Amino acid sequence: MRDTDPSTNERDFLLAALKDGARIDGRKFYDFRTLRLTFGAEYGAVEVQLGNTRVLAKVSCEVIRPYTDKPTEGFLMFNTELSPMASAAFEVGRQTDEEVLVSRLIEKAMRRSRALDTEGLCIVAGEKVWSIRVDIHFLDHDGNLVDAACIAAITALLHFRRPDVTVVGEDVTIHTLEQRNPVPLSIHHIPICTTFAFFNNG
Amino acid sequence: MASITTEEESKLLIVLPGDQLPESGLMEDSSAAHRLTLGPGLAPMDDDSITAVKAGILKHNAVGNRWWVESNQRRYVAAQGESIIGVVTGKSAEHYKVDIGASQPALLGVLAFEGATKRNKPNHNIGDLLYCRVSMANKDMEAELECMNPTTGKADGFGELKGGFVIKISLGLARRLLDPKNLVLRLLGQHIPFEMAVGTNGKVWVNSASTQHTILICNAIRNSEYLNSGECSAMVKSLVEKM
Repeated sequence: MRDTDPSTNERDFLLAALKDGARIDGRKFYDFRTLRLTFGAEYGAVEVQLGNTRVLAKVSCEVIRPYTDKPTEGFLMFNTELSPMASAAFEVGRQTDEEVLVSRLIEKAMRRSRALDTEGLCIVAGEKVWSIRVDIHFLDHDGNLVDAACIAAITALLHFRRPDVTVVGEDVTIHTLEQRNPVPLSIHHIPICTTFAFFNNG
Repeated sequence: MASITTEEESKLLIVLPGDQLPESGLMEDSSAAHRLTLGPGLAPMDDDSITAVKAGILKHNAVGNRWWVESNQRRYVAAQGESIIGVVTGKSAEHYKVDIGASQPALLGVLAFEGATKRNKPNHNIGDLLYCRVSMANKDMEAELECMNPTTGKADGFGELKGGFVIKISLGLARRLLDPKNLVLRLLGQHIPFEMAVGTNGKVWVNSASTQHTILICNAIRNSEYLNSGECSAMVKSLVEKM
């Protein structure tokens, strides 16, 4: 089912309300909706609630071989798939414009800003690096998926702990959670996304 | 639907899809009726038992020995005879395509209005809000709508809704708003004059004198879903005082 445009009544009412200085849920122009963060039992699991919009992020890691042309860099991957659970407008397998926007924005904000230090994910150059994967699930779509997804992604990365590793010569020991306390990822800065709109040419 | 008596209210029976209810158990509550009427959420099985197909509260009305499951969901499935609010998304020579929030758009005949003839028919644009009645609905075809009472041929309130605002709510709340004794609407009506239309597809249209009032009413309706009567009065009072 495709997302349908709002009715003429809704559009006219929204513009009339904005001219009166009110938004349709009673907020002022610069008010945020209540932001709630709920952390899961495991490291790296967080649920973000922005009003009625709910997004769940989960971070996992594994050790893999790096690219041959970038032997000291680890991997950071984001998976953002919009499912019909979030809204009837989304379909499995069909990428909507919104989905493309969300994944491109997360990539730009997280990866290109180098918030996570991928060089710090290296274990043995050319052989073993950490690959961090962030899965973002959209549970409820009530607007502003982009902001909620960004907050969820960076919060989950900050919350996540990877297993500790010791390298002695050629021997690599990946300690279990019982042997050694897990180690946080090295995050340089915290990118937060905020969306705003211009109305009536400012 | 008639409300159940207080003694039945104390034994709330919550059923899940797949729960079996023995037919004998359902019959014994009636005094003289030999027939059992099943409402939404219950389906008869081959072995003479009744199975719940929806999750919710099992309700019973002694008149006519009616049993049904009161459930709540947000996606609408078209059912015949229901009044709904739809948005026109397309126009063809014979039908309007109307989005009613179901999996498929519904069809509204161009002549399905009061006193419409080929020469004299209303002209609706894409984006118009219509209050219609479902004339036919089944799971194999697109639902069909009409903007008039089928027996009298009069409009009876159906037709285009002008101005105002539409909000989307759950189906359970929409059904509760149709109850003439609904608390939140009565409380709001004591402070603000407004008109509204409730669609059983989870859409409510509200119109009042100013945008502030309309926003207040819409938020009050949305907030009232899970509040009991005491909390409801407190909520309406606080919203009205802020005005």
